[in-house]
Amino acid sequence: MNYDCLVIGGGLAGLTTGIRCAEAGLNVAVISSGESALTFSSGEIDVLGTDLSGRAVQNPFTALESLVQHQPDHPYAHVGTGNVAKSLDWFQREIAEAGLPMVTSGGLWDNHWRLTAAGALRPSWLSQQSAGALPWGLENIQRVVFVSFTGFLDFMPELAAAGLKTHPVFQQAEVQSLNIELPLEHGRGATADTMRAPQLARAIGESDVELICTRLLEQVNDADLVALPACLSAGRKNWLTVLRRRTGLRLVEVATMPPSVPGIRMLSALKRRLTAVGGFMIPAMPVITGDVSYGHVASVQTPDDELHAKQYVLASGSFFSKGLKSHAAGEISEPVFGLDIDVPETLSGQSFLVPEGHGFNRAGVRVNVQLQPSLNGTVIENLHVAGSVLAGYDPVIEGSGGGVAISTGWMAANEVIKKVALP
Amino acid sequence: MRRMEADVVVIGGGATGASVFRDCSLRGMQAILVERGDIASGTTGRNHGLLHSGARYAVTDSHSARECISENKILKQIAGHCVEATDGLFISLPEDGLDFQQQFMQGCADAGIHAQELSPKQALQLEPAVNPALIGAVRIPDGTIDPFRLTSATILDAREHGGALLNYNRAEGLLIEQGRVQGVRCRDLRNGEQFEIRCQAVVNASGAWCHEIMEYADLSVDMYHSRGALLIMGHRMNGMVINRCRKPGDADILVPGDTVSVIGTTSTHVGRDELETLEVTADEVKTLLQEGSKLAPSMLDARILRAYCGVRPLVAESSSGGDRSISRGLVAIDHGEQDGLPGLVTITGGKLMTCRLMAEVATDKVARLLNISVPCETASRPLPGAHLPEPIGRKMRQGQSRYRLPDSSLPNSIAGSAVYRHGDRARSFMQEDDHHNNAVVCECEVVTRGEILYAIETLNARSMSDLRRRTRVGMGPCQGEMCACRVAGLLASQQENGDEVLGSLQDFVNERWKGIRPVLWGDALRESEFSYWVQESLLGLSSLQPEGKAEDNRDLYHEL
Amino acid sequence: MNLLVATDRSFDSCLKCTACSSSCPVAAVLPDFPGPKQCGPDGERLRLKSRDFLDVALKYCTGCKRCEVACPSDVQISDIIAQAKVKYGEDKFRLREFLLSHTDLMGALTRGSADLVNKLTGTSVVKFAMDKTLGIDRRRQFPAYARQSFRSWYKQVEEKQHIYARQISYFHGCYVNFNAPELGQDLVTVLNAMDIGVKLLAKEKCCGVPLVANGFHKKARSHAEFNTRACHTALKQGSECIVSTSSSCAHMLREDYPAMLGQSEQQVHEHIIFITRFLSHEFQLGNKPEMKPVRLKVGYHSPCHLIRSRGVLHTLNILREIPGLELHQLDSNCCGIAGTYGFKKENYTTSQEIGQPLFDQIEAGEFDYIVTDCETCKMQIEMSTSLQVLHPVTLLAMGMSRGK
Repeated sequence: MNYDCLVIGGGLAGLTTGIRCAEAGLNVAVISSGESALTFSSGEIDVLGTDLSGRAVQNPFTALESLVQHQPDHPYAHVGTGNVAKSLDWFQREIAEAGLPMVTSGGLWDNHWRLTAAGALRPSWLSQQSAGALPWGLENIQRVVFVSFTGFLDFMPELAAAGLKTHPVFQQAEVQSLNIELPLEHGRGATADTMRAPQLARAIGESDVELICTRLLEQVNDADLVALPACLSAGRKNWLTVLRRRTGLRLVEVATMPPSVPGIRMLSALKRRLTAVGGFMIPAMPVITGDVSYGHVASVQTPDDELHAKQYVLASGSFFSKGLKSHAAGEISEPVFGLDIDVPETLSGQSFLVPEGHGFNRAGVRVNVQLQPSLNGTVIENLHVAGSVLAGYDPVIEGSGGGVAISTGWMAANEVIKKVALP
Repeated sequence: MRRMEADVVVIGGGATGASVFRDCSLRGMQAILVERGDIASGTTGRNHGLLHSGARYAVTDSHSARECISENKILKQIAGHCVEATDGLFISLPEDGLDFQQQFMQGCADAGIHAQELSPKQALQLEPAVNPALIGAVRIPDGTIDPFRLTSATILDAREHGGALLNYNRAEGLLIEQGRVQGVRCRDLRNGEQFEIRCQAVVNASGAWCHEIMEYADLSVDMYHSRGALLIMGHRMNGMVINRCRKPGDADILVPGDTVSVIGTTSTHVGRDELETLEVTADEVKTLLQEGSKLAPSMLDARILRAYCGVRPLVAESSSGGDRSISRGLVAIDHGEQDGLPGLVTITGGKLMTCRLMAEVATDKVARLLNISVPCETASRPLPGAHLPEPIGRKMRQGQSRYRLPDSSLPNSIAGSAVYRHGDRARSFMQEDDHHNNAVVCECEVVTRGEILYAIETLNARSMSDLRRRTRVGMGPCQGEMCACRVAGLLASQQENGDEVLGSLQDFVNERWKGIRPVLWGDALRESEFSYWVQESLLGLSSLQPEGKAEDNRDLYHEL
Repeated sequence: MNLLVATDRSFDSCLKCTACSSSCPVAAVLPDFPGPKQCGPDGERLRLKSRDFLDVALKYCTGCKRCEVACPSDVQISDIIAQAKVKYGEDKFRLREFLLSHTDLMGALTRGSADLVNKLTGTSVVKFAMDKTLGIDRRRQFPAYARQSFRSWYKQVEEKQHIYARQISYFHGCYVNFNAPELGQDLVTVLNAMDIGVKLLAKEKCCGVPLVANGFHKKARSHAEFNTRACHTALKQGSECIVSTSSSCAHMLREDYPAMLGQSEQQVHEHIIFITRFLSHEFQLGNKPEMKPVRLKVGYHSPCHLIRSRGVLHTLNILREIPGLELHQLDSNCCGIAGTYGFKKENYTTSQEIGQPLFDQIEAGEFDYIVTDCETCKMQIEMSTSLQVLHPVTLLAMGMSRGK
């Protein structure tokens, strides 16, 4: 079976490519091996959170201009700042089509703050409606309450409260924590103690929501912001909406420790979108090696089969997803094709929590401006690379993981579509 | 200045100091233990965790060998929940020949260590992880010991007999009046407050740092600091201790301990100024892996969790022959007798195995100073929690189990882990229907909420790293990537000072990283990337800026 | 699945990322089940310390292998759990497990009395009795037994198979033989249309999937040896390969037999292929039967074990070749039956709750049919939704004017 395009990797970048190709009418299959990192993510899309000096940026698209000038090998530089904006605009429409509308906060092109389960604030650009992005100016928030459910270990309101208190803006604010003990209507007798977020989401029922509502009205009625673990909007009903309506409070959901409900929700939405527009999603299909000659991929091998396509997109992720491999001798390689890679001199910093991040995050496949990689110096014309397998950027420190995945996935798809359309 | 009173002040909360603390308390003395960090945070927590049979010293140091086998038998009796009587093998490889084995058997016989010669086939049957190329093996009663648990249980016993523990308090000077030591000047490192403890005797049990205490009295000792590096493997690869049957060398022992195996060690001299900044080098890692895989070949493709190193506080007797020829024997000094400064006793040298014996010798000296004639009971009196059905490790009859709470229907992994770590004291924090406290916080090592709270309330744990030493939280394959924030949340719910909790969380994460860095490839790198996503991208830990995070409160070292 | 040989060490690579736990269909609906991470790689580290750390909760694992599909580290989670049950657990004989797992025996016993058995197992009295005495849930529908077994039908067409130059052997399995001979007939139609003759193995035994799931490992091994010998003979007698229309049987024969029997019969096991993979390869090489348009809207449900054995792509490939077919890939969700798991009384609620998202999507999709490769998925979907379920081979046969 010949495909127009085989996408290797089913994470944010691979799914983006798959959806765009399928929409363009291409025969496309996304083959993946192992669940993608989206499962543990916040379920938000960050584009650029910090500038070159490490300061939080309000307008990521403006800051991009300066970033690509200073770092010509940054994936954003290959895509081009105009295309980054276009791709994200496209993504916003797609994810809404998939039934998961996502929003920016404040201005269309402005970052907002994402509240974390440790009480930190991270700049982000696009968020799910349940997250209720915090606008850039935080001044009007004077009383914050972190609420969790007694026993639940993956969102500890006491820790989050302590964390937020260290933020310069909130040092004078009143930050409190509250635990509500829930009967868990659909918990089949279990308590929140042993549940992870997706199970808690399932276990909550009408009577629990009643109780939460009463306790909120009794105890935190005057709060400017109430933060809850992200497990209310994904239950049998969207309980968060119900609670917002009944309490009139500003309620936001915060992504819990993995597994993360909003992350899983985004992943499912994208997979559903892919199959809805006619693409195929093939899990558990590792690609072992690729057959490349004269700058052309002829086929790729899975453990039992040889798969053929006109075009290939490599979106196999970084070390975690085995898109990159590190060996005892300190070498790093791209295991499927053995592509040319870039590796920073120092792989790791002295401390884990360092402002400059770690070199391993910047390691990856080197590409040209069409996102084509090379093998021993020869460009491979029918292979494009997208997402975190790419070299030249630090998704965590820059706060750019989502934006790079989407924009490079989108651009790789555009390149593929152009080529498949050619006679 | 605040002033406290005691009969004895013990400086140093390692295994030796803890044992002196216990011995003094059991003999009716009012004792205070002063430790600048947490208990077992120095050399004690940075070794193999080997319950020596003494066989290791049988050829080179018969005296140490006899001490070891005697303490080995005692610890099995009094510290059942801290040791596992796994037995060990001394294997000979083709390159070693069998000559040494003959000397070894003789040495064991002389020291009273039961040694049984095995055929290679028998050895492989007993321990499938062993290198199949072996040409001979001897079985000896080695075992494993958890130094954190031993120290903690020892301290708990002392406290239950009237002793007081002051961890995170530094001894900054000795009060010397009328020609004798009359107390210790201390500083509480949490708030910087200085205070004095007046006492009749001070025991310097600060191990590798004992020269610093002696300097407060213008005394000196010729310490030889021998540094050893070790690797922790991701799972328990071997059931029995595996040793090389040859003269002691690098990476010649693989010890199964709890859920992991530890390969060690190397031996290099370090200067006293380097004690605070120890890092494992790439060469050491390479040597450990290369030599270690000769003991158990599967080590080559097994995962390494971390690397760490410790410093043996050896007392130099001669200047020649390198450190392995220096005696591992204990050194106990009554400075009244030796230096004309009564009131101060120094106990050093020795090894984890002989901590109880060292304490007995030191406490005898203290008792003489205080005119106390109560005899030492530490060899016969079990530590808190040590009442288990039978010595751990011996084959159980079918259907019987050691690691179960009596009459409990809790999952075996949960109840068993609690019993494994705390013996019969597991009942203090694990009740049948207490879903809340029986919830698992650290999934790798199965630590429950109840166990964490017990460690905070009863075992003096104040920081995240203290909790790790008391419970194994964060010691499994994920190195705390998931449980760190859960534990911090529990700490935050117990403590007023949120900043202190956050500081301790950041320290914990950074401390784990130090041990991972030397082995940062393969799955360790994948794990680190994932941890980084969780702790930095998802949670934003580095952007938290807790106030008053005193630098010197930080964990200085990386450990097991 | 390394059931009877050395320990699997893949647990060492577990990053504790929770991808397995969040994709576990049982953990999603049964909060008391600690999930694949804790039962598998986490638990294995403890069990290496002592067998005392074995948890009884392992029994809730259905063996669906979705954890292994989700795992980014290639940890054989489901196998580790299955092994732990064997290695550290106790063997107890239970009648229910025996009856549910001995599918070939049960099929043979009902021969000639299919109508009676179907009626009996459909009556509330018998269901009540099975529920109370055996612990087989009374709400469960049993697959009906066919009046004529597939093997007996095959005799009518056996002669005709020799006219084809190419020959392959068909491992029909218990289900086709006793419950769904028409699927076997469809296969013969399709392969004959591609100029390939179909042979049967001289004799075959149950592949062993239900035996393993219910703890009858020795028996499973003896079946594995028997079937391997039969396949070996078939290959020697000129069959190109052995195909199976059951994704579970094929997975067992191809992926699990080598682990049970060692690598010595590797060449035999390599020649056992799930039917859609065989067809997909043939189609690609140009051997595609003529098909008339099948104007239907179908939803394709990918069975858990087919995902794990990397077969979904092939099924989609052949379905794509059916003209006129409107094909929708359903979200990847477990149907909840997990072989014999869902038949057990204590698992019924769990089983149905697991399947609910799939059932909802099916009911909302306005499909004409659901297509899937697995017989127990078919039973579960037909019992729990209003739709009929077809095998991909049946759809192909429908396109070949044989019609339905």
